[in-house]
Amino acid sequence: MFKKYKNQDLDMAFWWKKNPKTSSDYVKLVEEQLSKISSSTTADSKRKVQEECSKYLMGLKHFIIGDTDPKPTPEALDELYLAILRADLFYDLIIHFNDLEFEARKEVSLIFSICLGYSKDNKFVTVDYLVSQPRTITLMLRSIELALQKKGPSQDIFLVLGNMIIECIKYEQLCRVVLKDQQLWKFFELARLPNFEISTESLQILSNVFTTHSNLVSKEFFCNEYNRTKFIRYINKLMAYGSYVTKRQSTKLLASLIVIRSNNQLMNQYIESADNLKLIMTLMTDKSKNLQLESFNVFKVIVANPRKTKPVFDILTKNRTKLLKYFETFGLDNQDTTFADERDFIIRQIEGLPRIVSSNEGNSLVGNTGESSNISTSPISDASNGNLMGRSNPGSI
Amino acid sequence: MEPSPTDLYSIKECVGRGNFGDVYKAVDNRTRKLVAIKVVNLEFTDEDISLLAQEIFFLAELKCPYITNYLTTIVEDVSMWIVMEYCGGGSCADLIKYCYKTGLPEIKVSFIIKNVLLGLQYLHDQKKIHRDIKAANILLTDSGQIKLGDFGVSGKMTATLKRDTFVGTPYWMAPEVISREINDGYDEKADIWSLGITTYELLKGLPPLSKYEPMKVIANLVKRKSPRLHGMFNPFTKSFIAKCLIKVPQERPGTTALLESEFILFYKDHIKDIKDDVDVCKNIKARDRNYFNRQPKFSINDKFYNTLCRIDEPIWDFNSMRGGPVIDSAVSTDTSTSNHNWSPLTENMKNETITPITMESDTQRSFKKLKQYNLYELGSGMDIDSDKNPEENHSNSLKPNNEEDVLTNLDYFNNVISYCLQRMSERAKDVDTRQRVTNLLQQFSETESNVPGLSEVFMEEVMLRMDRINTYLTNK
Repeated sequence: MFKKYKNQDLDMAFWWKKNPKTSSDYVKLVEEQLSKISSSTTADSKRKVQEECSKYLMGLKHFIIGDTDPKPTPEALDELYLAILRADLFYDLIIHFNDLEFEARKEVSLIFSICLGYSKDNKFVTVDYLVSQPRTITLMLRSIELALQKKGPSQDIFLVLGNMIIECIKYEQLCRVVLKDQQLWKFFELARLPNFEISTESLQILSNVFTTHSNLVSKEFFCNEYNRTKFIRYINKLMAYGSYVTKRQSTKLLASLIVIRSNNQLMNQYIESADNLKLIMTLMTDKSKNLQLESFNVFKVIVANPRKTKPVFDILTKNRTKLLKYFETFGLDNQDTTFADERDFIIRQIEGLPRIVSSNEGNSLVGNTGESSNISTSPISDASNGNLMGRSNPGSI
Repeated sequence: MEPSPTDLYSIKECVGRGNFGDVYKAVDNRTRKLVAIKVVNLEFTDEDISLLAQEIFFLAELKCPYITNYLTTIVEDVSMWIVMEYCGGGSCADLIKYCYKTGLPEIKVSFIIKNVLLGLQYLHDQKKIHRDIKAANILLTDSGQIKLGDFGVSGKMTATLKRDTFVGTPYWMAPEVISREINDGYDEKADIWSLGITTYELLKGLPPLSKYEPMKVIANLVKRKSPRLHGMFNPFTKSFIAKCLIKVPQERPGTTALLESEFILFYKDHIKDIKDDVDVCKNIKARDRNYFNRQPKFSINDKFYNTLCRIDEPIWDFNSMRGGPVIDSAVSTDTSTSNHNWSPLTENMKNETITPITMESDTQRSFKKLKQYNLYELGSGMDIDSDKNPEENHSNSLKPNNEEDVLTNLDYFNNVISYCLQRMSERAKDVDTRQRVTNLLQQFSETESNVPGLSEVFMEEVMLRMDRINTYLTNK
């Protein structure tokens, strides 16, 4: 009646009945097929192996999500998880990712995320295994880049592997593995590719890596000056040279990172640089209202900093009139009261800047001393509340 | 660099507009196949880009003959073009509206629902949920085949209780969707409930309880008994709907069980398509003018970044700073590829990275920036020769402190109209266009000298209008 799509009417019941062995046999069957894929010479025999592989993976998935009749016993499931790890199944699957069929790759991704979530005796068994054997994650991070160099369904592979990486990042220990891998920096480059799916998925991975476990990221990643400097350089590139989407997303990521209290080392390094300020001010004059708003969220931190460096202070002072003119119209249609408070606060800070450029020291000239001294005690903590204004300006509105 | 989507696809008419964007029928220039393109203007949508992206990735994972296939996404200017397989036959809601106002015959409903079930089976097998099953989202191909459509994009796949998604289709919602936290307490069985309501809708022309206020239906859904199909229908049809509308999700059957129900099996293979209905429906639609002539919310040709009417914004003064390159100059090699994404100011910054700033280049720079105002200040309106020796005006180059003065005493004809028309003439692709632009400028010049102040009033009106339009668009 209709053209059937592959696997659709696959009668799994038949297969299960014929194979009522132990659950670990499913792993063995997949492994067997995988080893055949590389050795199969003709296209025909390869396709056959691929189909077999898809079939067993589908069976494996049904088993692992308990979609079988009767449902698998907890013991059988435990055995299956252990068998998957013992065989290092995911490593082998990713090695052969290119050879798997479209649906099969998705099965792998689904099985993978279910395995990650599997816990026994309060331990994430798969996560612990991947931490002790990080070569699977390393391979994943390499393969996702390699996928783009190959012909064929590179984009599909990229997206599926990307999803698997995002699944990993949900677990702090695995996120640590990803953060330590130099391959992470590749995603900044991939985020600038013109292909929408690839650049957006790369940004998504970066965003998740840096924002999901903020303590881990600040204590083990941004504490390192090399990482900070490189991160700032890379994210600036995205903000300056990315596509419209990349600019918006990367500016948003930066803004969200520097207001997190524990990232104060990153914040301090970012806001002391005049070059960064120039970039942010330039983004503020982009036509896109969204980009203006995202860059304002970085700008406000720079302006609220009571210990501005001389170059930063000079730029702000020099542009005092222009900034005030800019803020006359900036964000007037924004209904958000927190935003309006922040805006007013920033305007007053700018008004407090000296009118004429002089050689005076920066801080002594920041006007409205009451307010500025108030905020100077803890600009970071205010910012980290997501409410820059909160305590520093009770008198505003 | 990726080719521009306007080269890849020839846009035909706009076939729909929604909150999330306009839908166009288009031809893929490489394959000559028809596609549907949803154009989402990212600058004017409230949707978070990463949510939209997740929805697109969701779509990219679906390849099934019972589901409208996702092809690709391209970003052009500030718009996202989501390219999908085209379903020329409209939706089952059209079928009801134009052909079967009081409902379709059971045999056809059985055929449609069977195909929807096959699509849902594919989805549910991957632990994915459609979340918005209803006749309007069951699409028809030109050959009368059924495809499940309208995923994601409208915000349904990652549904939060946003007002538009919530109010949009309450009649089809499962009780557990309403009573529990979204994403927490419900699974693919919610689609089965909606399928039951849709079956009812197809048979009767309307979903149950549609005479009541949507919000009231929602409020009462959890408490009241499930709707039932009454009237002259086969018992197995009534029982099919009753099974779908079992209130406890765990007791509701899944797709595989429903595909084996009598309602589906009884009519199995009786019909292979509903092309006849699709054709009839198309004919009626063609006569209904309102159906075509749909006006897109955003014109596809309006480019956010390429328009000339740019509001003057402060041009920052970074000159006297000793600051070096903003970013590695190494990367500036590929900037030309994304040229349309550059704000003119970023261009300035680029220059900075190349030219070390000295006092001399400092004045040079400010001269360049103000050139557009300076150049015509003393000249006549016709003086639009950009090669006019700039050195002459160099000594008059405006100092930043009287810049405001100049802006308030702006000569609208010289500085705006003449300037813009000159740029247009530069942009003209052929001699004829250039000549016409020049004529227009001449016309303007004459009118201005007869009616002094005309340019100012004209610009005032244009700006007022643009403001109004912008406010309208941003509030929309």
